[in-house]
Amino acid sequence: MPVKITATITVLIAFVLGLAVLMNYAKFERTFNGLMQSRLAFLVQDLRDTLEFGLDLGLDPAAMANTAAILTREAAHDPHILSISVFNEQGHILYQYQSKLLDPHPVTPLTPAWLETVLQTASKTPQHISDPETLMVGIPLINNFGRTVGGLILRYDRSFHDQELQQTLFNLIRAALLILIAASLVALLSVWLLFRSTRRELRQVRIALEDFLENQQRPASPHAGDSVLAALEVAAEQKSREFQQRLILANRILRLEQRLAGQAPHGSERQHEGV
Amino acid sequence: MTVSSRFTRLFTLTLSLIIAALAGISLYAALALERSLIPQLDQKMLTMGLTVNAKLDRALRYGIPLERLPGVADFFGTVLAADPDLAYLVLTRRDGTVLYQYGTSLPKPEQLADATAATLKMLPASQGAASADSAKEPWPIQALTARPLGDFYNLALPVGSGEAVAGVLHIGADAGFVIQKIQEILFDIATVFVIATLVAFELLLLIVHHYLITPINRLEMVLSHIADGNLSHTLPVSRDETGWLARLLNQLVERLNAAHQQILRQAASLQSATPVAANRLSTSLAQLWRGFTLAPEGRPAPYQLADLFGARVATFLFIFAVELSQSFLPLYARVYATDLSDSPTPLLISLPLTVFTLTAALSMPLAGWRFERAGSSRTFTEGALLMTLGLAGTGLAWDFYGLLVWRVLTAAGYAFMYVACQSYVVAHAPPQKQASSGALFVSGLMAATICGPAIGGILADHIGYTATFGCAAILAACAGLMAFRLLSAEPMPAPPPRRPVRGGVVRAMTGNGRFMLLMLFAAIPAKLLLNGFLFFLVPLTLSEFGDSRSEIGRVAMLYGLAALFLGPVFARLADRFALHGLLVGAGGLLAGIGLIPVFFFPTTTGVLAGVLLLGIGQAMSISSQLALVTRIGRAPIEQFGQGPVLGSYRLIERLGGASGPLVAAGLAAVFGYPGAITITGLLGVVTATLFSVSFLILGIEPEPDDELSPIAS
Repeated sequence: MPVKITATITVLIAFVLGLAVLMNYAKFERTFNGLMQSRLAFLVQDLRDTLEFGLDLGLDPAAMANTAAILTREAAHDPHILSISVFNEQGHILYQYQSKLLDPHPVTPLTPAWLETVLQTASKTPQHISDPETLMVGIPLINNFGRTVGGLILRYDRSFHDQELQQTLFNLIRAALLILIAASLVALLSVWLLFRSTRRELRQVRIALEDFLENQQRPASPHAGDSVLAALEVAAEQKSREFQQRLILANRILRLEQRLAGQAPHGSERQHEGV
Repeated sequence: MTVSSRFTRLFTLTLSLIIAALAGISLYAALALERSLIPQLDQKMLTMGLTVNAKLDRALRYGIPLERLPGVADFFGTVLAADPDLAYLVLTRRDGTVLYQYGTSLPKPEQLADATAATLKMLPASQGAASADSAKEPWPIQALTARPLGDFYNLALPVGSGEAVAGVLHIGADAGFVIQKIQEILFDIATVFVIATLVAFELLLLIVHHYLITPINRLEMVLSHIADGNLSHTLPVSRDETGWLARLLNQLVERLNAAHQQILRQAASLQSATPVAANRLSTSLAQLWRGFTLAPEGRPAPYQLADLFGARVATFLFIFAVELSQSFLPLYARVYATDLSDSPTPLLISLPLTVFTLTAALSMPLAGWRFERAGSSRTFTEGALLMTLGLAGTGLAWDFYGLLVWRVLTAAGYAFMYVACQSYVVAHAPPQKQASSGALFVSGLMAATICGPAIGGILADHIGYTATFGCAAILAACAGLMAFRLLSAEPMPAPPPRRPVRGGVVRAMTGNGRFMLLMLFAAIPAKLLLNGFLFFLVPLTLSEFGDSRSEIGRVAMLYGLAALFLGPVFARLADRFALHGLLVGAGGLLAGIGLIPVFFFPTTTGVLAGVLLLGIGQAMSISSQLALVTRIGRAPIEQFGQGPVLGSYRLIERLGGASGPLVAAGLAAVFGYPGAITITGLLGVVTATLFSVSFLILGIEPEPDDELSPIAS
């Protein structure tokens, strides 16, 4: 029984810890994503402001000679930036910074759908998209006549982001498991102590009953204790003994009648007295 | 130590462990999150600081001194407005004097001066003062990190170009950033604790009863039977201490019965040889067996005790399953309704809820019929199967019509499980414990009403609708398995004596004027408010106010809390002082009044107050309504029995309640959600007033000289 009660308590604590881990992790994920997205959005907006300054002067996006340098300078803020691409309204890449880390494996090309998403954005709010490898932040470039003339997309290394999330989830689960193990041990010990007297009572009654079953001729058991159960056991034992006496009597009467009827041999009476 | 004090200690121990576990994981989460989030915050501050710095730097390159830069504070304001995570931006001179600053809260000037001095000290000598060779020694700006500064994390970046640093830009975030984020989930953690407490209570009650109290009671009963000379019962044998004892007792009982049978057989063999002797023997033996009851044919029957706590936990589980989606069902329905129409009407959104309540009400008689034929375990299991399928299907519904079909299936399962549990308790409760056994069932139901919406809201927020319905389906299946295990060993209840058909009861009750007044002005409005306001309008209104599903669930939970804790108090008061009529009227008024202010104060707090007052009002009126039904319907109860009369009352009440979402949706289409809540409240107030006035005039029971009530006549 202590094991079953402890198992129930363990399941309850596991349920509580599971929910707590879920909520804390969800909060962490949201905060972490929020911090990262707002940082990348700020970078992209600053880049956009810089590029739009050139557009406001009447320059064609393709003709802005210092764009590559600007991209490189901005990318230097964070080594996890994989690429920054500037494209025109047809979706053709005009300038692209690519991290040196990617040299052996160039970053996968931007799909037309992503470019379209950025170009069709009416607001100046950065758009966040992601794929299994990268997190992307895109924003349209709008000239001073309010026309979208292109856009820019920053791609960020997702492995770093995912690794941080996984590590935190792993840490939370590990902590929850350790707490669960500790709580289960405390529960097992406490439940064992709490129900010790019940077990003792039951054991005493069991010993008394075993004793009675093995040696039915002896007087009422002294082991049974003073609980309600023990008192009932003593009463039941006495009644059983009384019934056994009656069985013995019944046996004797039966033998007697059999003898009178000539069915049973002399001396068989003793054999049937035991129950 | 008594069993109840041992249970109290066990419950306290469990709660302490739950609190310790929650505190432990929350503390660890705070530390772990701080460890992971602070570097991110740091990096963000650096990115933003460098960008701002670059702009200031450009001005310096054009030869404009920092002191003469126009609109810097406004620029800082624009940057901060775009990012709520940051607290301030401050630009200081080299001597630490503040030049420009902007922020919701700011560090003290002397703290900024110290931070400025510390930053300048860290710089290479060539950058700190005028130097001709600055380009040779690059400034390790990427290595700069935020440091604690009073109540903030402060990142200090030198501003300067070329030969000298002209000032320091300070960018700050609240030091309690991570703690604030953790605090945002404290309400959720508290909700989890409340739910865990209720679940712990239910499960421990079941475990202690199933493995300790019931086996010991059984042992005591069989021992007491033996002590009284009844040797006709054995005990079920389990694998624990009570099982050992049961085995020994069975051995004793079987041995005594076998010895008895042996004597009877030998006596029977004498019968054929010498009938006279056999008759004499038979008389002697009959005298010897007097005072003892032996098992028929020497085969003792297992002694069974109905597991009412098993029924309670099964009730708790299946109500929990169905309530899990209560806080977001209208929001979920809206998603599907949007497929049919871009801006779905409230009437369309209310359909799944209406279909559910209507099907549940109409399936109850069918479930009652099934219970009478198949018994509680089978009826419950069939219900569990229907509900599991219904909930899983609801989560995976392909369109709005599919959703309606799955809700019908869920509602039918709900009706089967509800009737199976309720009828099991009624059939197996000892006659002197009918009321307390009924309360056992209702408490399990109310506890689940508290847990379901709150936990459902949290789950829907974090794992989505489909997974939450999946959890609900698993819970329903668990309830089915539990009922199959706990209720299956029980004997079938004796078939009730045949009574006149329900139509007769309904006719008799609807012909009773007082009964009709009670139904029209108290029972139906109460269900209408519950289904229309709590289950339909609250989720949609709070969602319109921008509350998350967790918050909606927490608000809905208040209703159950009020009903669970205040219901028994009001029931006792009503019984003690015979206040049933007064409490029904006052409860209805309170429930209605609570909803009226929502139109004038359309806030979450307004809705929350409405839910709380609805809970208190219904806690006052629900049990008193039942007492009134038994008093008003005394004559039909004598004629048809209490079950059919109360069954008819429940049926009419539920059918009326099914109109709740439709009425609320109709009102919402015209007046908007807050307006609909207020009008629903007004409707509650009007019906409660009519009820009070009617019963003040008529009285609850007819006067001795008043054979027919005025309305019925």
